[in-house]
Amino acid sequence: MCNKWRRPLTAAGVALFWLGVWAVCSHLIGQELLLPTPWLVAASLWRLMGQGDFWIAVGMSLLRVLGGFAAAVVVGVLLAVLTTRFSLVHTVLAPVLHVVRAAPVASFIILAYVWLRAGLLPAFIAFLMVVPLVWENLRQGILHTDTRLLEMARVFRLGRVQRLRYVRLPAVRPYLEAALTTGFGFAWKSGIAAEIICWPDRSIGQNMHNAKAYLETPEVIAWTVVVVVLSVVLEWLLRRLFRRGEVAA
Amino acid sequence: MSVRLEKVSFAYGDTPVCRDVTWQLPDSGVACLWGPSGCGKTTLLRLLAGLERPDSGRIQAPGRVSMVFQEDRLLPWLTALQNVTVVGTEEDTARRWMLSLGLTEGELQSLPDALSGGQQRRVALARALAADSDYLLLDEPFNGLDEDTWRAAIPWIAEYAAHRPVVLVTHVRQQAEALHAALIPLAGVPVSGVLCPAENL
Repeated sequence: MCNKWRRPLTAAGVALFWLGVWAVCSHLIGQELLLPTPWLVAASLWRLMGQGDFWIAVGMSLLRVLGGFAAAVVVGVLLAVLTTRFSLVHTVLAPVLHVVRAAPVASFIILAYVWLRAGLLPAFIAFLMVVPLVWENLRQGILHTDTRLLEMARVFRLGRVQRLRYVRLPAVRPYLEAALTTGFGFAWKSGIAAEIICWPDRSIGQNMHNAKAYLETPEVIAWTVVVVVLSVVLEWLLRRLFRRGEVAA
Repeated sequence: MSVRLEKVSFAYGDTPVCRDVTWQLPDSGVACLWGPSGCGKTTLLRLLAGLERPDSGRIQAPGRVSMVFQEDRLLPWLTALQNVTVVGTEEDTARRWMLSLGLTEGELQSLPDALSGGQQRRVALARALAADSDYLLLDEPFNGLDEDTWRAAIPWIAEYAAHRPVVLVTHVRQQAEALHAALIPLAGVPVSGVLCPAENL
């Protein structure tokens, strides 16, 4: 009983402590514009949640990022398979990977804004952030698959499908899981960043940008809270999905 | 058609391991490759298993091969039983083999990591013996088993060898003797010429 409650109680205590620090700081500063109090932010969040537009913006932002994320997973898997199969493909494509990884997200956002409609941009940026991650992680997974097990499968003449199901997939699974969970966080944050820069209609980013323009600091923080909460919830869902898959397999 | 190497040459990089090796396996019985470590025994098994391609010469290996590798090579994400059925063996057959090799029903349902080294070895042996095959390759199959345990496995291998060829690699003389194996002495690399059983070793 004692152990069961220990962790949630500790977490609540820590959360209260930081809310307290925040409250004290905002009282000391005494300017709503610079650092509003937690309750002002909470009130602002409550008001936002009562509006239909809030839910539409959240839904649309999610949809864009998830779309880009899903496309990135498909393309990343394809690239990982191709570059481990054919070394020439790897030689040709490896520089692209390095460039995408090294360049700052913002420069891609600005550049892509020249080519794409604002509505497509967050999806594209999320896609761009996640492709290298899935590609490289899965590639490592494929390269590190135990050759001794693959030889065993060859000697015992396991078919293509069986080899995939019983040897290849379980071997790369941890790599793919790591890529997807960290990749989702990347996609979400960079997608929102793209929205803030290019303000597509009906998006979290546009709302944040407007709140900032009207000097509505509590609202900016309220939207940030929404982004953080969604990020935590979705990552948790993703992890649960993997765990369920493990039991099924 | 029997299993046969014909003037097979093979090198790992610059190190020749086989030079014009010819070897015909008898249609039944156990042939034991005998010699110091690094004398090409495992390479010969790998050639027979189709895991290496000869640089020249021909390998005639009709039918399906089954093998116990030097390591267990069990799939860590499948239970012991699934490790035996995954190569195409019926569950009933797999279970029978595993129980005859001294595994318990509880061990059959365990993941390999939860089993001792000796138990994992028995799973690997069961996988090879139960698989539908025409010849069997055993690379130090009793590694990590105490004498009572490997002696218990001898009759099953002998039964297999009654009408199919078995190639055994071992360092333990008694294991070869228990299987009435024909000893084929290998002096060192490169292995060359025609391999045949020694009259008296």
